[in-house]
Amino acid sequence: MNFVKAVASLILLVAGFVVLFDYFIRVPGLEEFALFLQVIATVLAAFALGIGAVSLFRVHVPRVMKRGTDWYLSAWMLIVLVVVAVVGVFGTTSHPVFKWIYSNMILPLDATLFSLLGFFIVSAAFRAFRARTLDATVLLLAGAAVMLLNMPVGGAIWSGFPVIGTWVRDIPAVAGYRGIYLALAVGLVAYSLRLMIGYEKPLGE
Amino acid sequence: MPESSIWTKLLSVDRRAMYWLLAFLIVIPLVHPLGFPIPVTDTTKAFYATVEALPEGSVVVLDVSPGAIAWAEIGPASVAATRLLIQRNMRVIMWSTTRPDAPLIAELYLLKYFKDAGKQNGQDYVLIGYVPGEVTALATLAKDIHYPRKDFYGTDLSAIPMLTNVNTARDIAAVVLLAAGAEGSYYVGQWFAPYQTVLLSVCTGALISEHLIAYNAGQLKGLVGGSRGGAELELITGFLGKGIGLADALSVTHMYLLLLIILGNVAFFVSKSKAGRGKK
Amino acid sequence: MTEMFDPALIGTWVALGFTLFAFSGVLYKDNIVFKFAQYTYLGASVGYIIALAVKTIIDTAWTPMVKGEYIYAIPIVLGLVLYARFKRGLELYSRWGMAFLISVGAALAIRGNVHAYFYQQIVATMLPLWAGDPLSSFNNIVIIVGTFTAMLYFILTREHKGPLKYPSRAGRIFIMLAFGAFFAGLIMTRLSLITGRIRFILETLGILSS
Repeated sequence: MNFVKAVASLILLVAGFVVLFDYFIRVPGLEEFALFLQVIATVLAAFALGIGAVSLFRVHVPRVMKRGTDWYLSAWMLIVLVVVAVVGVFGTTSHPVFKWIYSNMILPLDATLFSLLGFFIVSAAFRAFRARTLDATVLLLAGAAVMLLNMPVGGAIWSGFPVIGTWVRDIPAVAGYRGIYLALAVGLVAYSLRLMIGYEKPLGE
Repeated sequence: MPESSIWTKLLSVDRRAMYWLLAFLIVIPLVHPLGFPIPVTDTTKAFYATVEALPEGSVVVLDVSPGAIAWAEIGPASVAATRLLIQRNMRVIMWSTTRPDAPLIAELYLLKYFKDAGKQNGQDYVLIGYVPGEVTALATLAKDIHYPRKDFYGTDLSAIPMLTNVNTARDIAAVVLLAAGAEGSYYVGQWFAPYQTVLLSVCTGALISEHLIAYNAGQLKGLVGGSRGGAELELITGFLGKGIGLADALSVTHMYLLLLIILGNVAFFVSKSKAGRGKK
Repeated sequence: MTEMFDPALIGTWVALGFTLFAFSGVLYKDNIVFKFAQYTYLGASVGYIIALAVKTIIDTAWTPMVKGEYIYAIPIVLGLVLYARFKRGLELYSRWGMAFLISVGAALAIRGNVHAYFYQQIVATMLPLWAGDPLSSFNNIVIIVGTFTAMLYFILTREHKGPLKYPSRAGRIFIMLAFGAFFAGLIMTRLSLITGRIRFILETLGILSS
């Protein structure tokens, strides 16, 4: 195994198991060391945020240079990115200009683009939600019962709707979800251990 | 040539017509409120009761993680919860480990209530802002609340009076999480499991099912779910706002969606059986 | 005249414009203003994240290092090494930073899940079969049976035949019920988001008071 991969494997083992053992056993100095490793990881997480930006530049700068598809939009995007980043870094994130950009550009775009999914649910409700099988029928009926609970008018139409909806949501749905989460927890522990000992990609062979 | 029935034509309606009809149906109850009664559910009552039972002046964490994407849904509930904490004279620490826009959301929508109530930055509330790292950052904060070093405005956390004796999760009376993502599972795993911190959740509708299993297991002490929960919290706290108006729109849009599901299924099965009879 | 150049007023109309641009892609069709909105959002949000990331690195690692806590050079070096992935020949070195992130995250996931999502959920399922009244007892039995059968559905190492056939089938029904409840919650979320944006449009146009 070459040196770089050996160091990566060592980091995987040491960092992971120190943080894990800190939870289960009390050893003097272990808690402080685990805390320091966690602080390192949070700083690395901040560095990792920039990787997306570098990838964006690698895709869109060649597109602008070669006048590819929608190159003017790519150029605009890169200009906006640089302006916002520069204002935020040098003017700090509490600068009025930075806040103006956030509240009048990022916030409305974020909220609106995300809300478009609601329209797609409407067309999916009409064209795709079919009670073709027993499973699909159960899913739709449970969904309808809880929808009638969620809307205040449901109780006004018939007092039984909120009762049925509450029962479906709080009893069988909780049971199903709990079963999913228990299975998920077991799988997550197994997968996390495999990651820590290097058996899984992206770092395992 | 197969007969084209009304049901087949219905199935090929332009989807944009459905979208415009939805938009129109939303405008009506916003402009002319319908005033349907909103019964308050047990989970919202538990949320309110737990906050009321906390000792006045306790240090509470307000995890501001709805972001712009979920503010429309849980904004009203978040404002009502914040105003309840202010009314109880809680000392509030605001942060998020999952949403980069948390500090700006807090500034735009929440800080004004602290200022209107005469609360002082550093004495009664502190905005730490965004702490990158998701679950890692949260676990680190549980062990050392001062590790981000500075608040959103650049003040050293060690110089902030209300954080003088607040160092770990054990010094926090409760966490009110305004959740739109995986924050619930992070807090349950990293704050409740090791430290038994009191957790209260204001979450989006999509997260209600996940948070309900935590509520039923006693990991969450209260749950305000979705825009319906927001309307309930506004009613129970008396801090009426946009949540009540949202509830009427909720009724109309849900009825529309239910109608579409029923119509879509009827149209599908009728046109399918007609096609089957045509073949015979 | 000066009111026209009020940043808050200009900002409100810019926000309204971007909202309508974003809606146009769905309510009309994919068009240039919709793409403009998408590209603006992408650039602004990534620029915003970079600003926040730089602030965190400066506050948490750079400033302490410059003040004498030289041990904070470790996360700064590891963080810079993450970017080696973009340089041919040096990609392997980025594994060091990745290894750190992955291992600490995995360890924290185990810590959180074992107690919170395994042990405590099992304890919450250990309910009395007789709870004092028929309805509560029935509910408890449904929860116990539902949780157990839903878990059985995820046994992937044996074929669901014989003694496993009907319990896993029942588990699948409970999972469908859970998904149905989740779906209803998701609908409430999505429709609330559209309502919020339409409310913003009406408030900006003066049709609703804010």
